[in-house]
Amino acid sequence: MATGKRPLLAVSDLRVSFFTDRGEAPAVRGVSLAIPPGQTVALVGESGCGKSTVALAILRLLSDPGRIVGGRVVFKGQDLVSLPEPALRAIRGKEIGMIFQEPMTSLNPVFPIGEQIAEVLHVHLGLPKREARLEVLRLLEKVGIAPAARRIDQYPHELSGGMKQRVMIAMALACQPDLLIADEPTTALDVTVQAQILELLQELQQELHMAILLITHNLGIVAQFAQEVHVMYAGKIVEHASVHPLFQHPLHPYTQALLKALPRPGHRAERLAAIAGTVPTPFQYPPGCAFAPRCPEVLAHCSMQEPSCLEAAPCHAVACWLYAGSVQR
Amino acid sequence: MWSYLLRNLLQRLLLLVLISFLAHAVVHLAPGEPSEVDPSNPRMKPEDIARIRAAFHLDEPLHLQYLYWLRDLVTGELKSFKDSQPVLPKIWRRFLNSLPLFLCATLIVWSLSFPTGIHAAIRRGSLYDRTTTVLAYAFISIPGFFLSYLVILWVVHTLNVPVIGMQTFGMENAQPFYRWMDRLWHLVIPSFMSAIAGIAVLSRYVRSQMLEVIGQDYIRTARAKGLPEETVMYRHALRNALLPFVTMFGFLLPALIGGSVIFEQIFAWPGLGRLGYEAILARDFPVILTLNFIAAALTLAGTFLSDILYAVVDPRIRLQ
Repeated sequence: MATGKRPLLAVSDLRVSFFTDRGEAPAVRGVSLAIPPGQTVALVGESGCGKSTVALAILRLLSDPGRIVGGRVVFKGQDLVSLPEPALRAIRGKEIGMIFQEPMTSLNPVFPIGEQIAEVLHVHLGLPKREARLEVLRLLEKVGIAPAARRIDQYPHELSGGMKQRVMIAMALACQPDLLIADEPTTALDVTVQAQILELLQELQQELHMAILLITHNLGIVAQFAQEVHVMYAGKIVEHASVHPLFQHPLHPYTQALLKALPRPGHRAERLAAIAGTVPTPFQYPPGCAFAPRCPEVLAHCSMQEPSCLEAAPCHAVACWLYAGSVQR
Repeated sequence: MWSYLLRNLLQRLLLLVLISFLAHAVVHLAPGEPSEVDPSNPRMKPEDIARIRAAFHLDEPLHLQYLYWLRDLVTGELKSFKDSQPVLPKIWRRFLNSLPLFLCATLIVWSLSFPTGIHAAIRRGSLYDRTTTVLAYAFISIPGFFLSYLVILWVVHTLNVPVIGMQTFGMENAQPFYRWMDRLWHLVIPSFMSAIAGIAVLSRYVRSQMLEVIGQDYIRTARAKGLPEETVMYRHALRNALLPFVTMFGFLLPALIGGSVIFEQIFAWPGLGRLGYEAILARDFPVILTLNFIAAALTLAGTFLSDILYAVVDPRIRLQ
């Protein structure tokens, strides 16, 4: 939306539901977002808002009972939702890489890490063993695993959490993808390691000119890392803007509350503001705007009708009744 | 690692001696002695009983009896109370009879359970999965001996062929080809019948193990890498799902001895299980104790083997 360039990935009206014994749980309810080439777009929200589900749905990696029930995911002109499985496999790991929240459990415990990285090179580039090994050594060095020659034959349990995430990054970037989906890449790591991993991602992004979809609940990371932000709540995007406008003038009461909950240097004495209430479950969303029961500025008709996401300021969209009057048409 | 193995081996040897001693005590605790097997026999006079007891050292203290048994076992002098035959050759002959039955049954169990369980897990909830689930629970619930009798009845009635024993009576002098075909046929039903419960249990176990692994994060990673589904399942998932079954190889060894007492009894198969059963009825202490000793030794060897195999297949396990 922000740029005139054609987006690398365009998600439109994506809907995902989990079909359980308790009924259908719509975890993602019509999410649209666009990722321009080479840029970082962040998707933020509390746990359970459906942001990881969006990430998995893009590559159709949802496991039972989750299913895409509507929408399109257009990547380089192809709709990934309707793409046949073999064609999709050719994109997974080659043109779109993905790293996950839990590096501890995301690597197969019974294979050496080098072998797990080489697998990607073998399946997508058809590299023979010897060449794949050389390439793996190069990749390991690139993601800062030293000495690569010794580490390449080690098993995941012999590596620290940060190291494992570096291995995951090496694996995701082995084929130099155009897009990296990073699903909470630093959540499970120590703060110092977090910074290192983010720095590494930033370096590699510049080198490979790839776009990143960064999924996180950490607004601090968003501020220093992303160009555009989508704020997600209860399976929907409630606000979308570039980083600066969003942090300077957050429009949606939810975004405002999130930012108030962020510790700030220099404001030590202040108590951090928590958001009252809890995140609604996908089984039972409140009627109207899902944030209405927790909203400090709730209006009378908020819980009756759902607001749609409209541009309230240039390149700044928000789904809230407070701005219904200032909508630019 | 070598010091671990050595220490472990010594511990197991000690345990073996302890087990044999306990087994000896337990067998003597049980009511009845060889001299009392046939008390109603009018020709058995008290002095005869005393003579029998003296001949078998049954009138001496327990620990001495244990030492006699151990001495005879080590020197190979051990003889059955029942027929004074040397025990070890007797067991060996029976072992050779049991071996084909054991091998066939085990082969059937392992070669059918794994594909069945793996496919059920991969196609969870499908018609195949539901059918195998129902069948598995049916075969776990129906007692093996009952099913065997039904099968024997059916085969004998409809096909009019003999199924009992290791070979058909009167075939001893037939041509080798016919004799072998006859023995093979006699092997089929007992091995399938003793394999059925094993298939039912093991395939369930394989299925749940496979399902657990399929739900792991690293399977999602493998898919995100763009690997074909077959590679994801048969390389990434299966390799992990198979780990616990390595331990089961160890438990196969003791099954050589007691694995088929019931089925050898039903099919009149002159094997080890039946030997043990008959020895218990006759209070044939040397045979009972020696079988028990061998079973204990095989169990200890089996678990030892499992430990080593586990360290071989799972990189996370180190022996120390």
